[in-house]
Amino acid sequence: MRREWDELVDYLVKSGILKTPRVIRAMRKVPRSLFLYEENKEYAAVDTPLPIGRGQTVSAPLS
Amino acid sequence: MVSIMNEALELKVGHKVLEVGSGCGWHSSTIAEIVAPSDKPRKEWGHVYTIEIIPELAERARRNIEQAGFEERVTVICGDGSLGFPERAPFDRILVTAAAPYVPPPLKEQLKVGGILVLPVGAVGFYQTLLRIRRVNDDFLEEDLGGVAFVPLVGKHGHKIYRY
Repeated sequence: MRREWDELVDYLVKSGILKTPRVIRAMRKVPRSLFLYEENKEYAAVDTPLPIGRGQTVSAPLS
Repeated sequence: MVSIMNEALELKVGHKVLEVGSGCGWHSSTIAEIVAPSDKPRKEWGHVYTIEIIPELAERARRNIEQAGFEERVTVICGDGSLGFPERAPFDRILVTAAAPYVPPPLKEQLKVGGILVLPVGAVGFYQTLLRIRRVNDDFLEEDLGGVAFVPLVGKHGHKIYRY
């Protein structure tokens, strides 16, 4: 899971979406999986919003 | 969206940030690691205040933030974030993580001179516009950062048709 998250951040840097060193560092250090329901953790690095309860979603890392 | 907003906010170490809509606490924790990084001394740390209107989500966000080790850098408040958080205003940066029908006036009032407010504005169930608003003295300069899709903001300055 850690590797997939690192690959996502690498992609965001390569594509120019993440530019600022402090922002890149923070995105790398704080993976979305820590904040998801157990059953959604495997999708943490997928670029999609995910359910967090009460009909609400957590934003996608990129879009 | 978290990447785009975190870049658009031009965050700096030491900033005091208000987030409207905590959700699960992930976004506020990423911001905390920018304004209060673990590799900087605590005296340089800024702080993130995040408001969530749905009590169960606020409770879970608080738990997630604690488990991820950000409880000293992020304060979760359960309440109506469309009113801002006057108790800790003014803020260097404000972000809204739900789509507002218009820019809530309290958020503009609670922005420091030189501060930046980033929020999606638009109708429910459609694409909205992500706005970046810079406060220059008493002027507010708006920039359109493109189309986005968020859950609706609810509360006094939120959408009235949405039950939460």
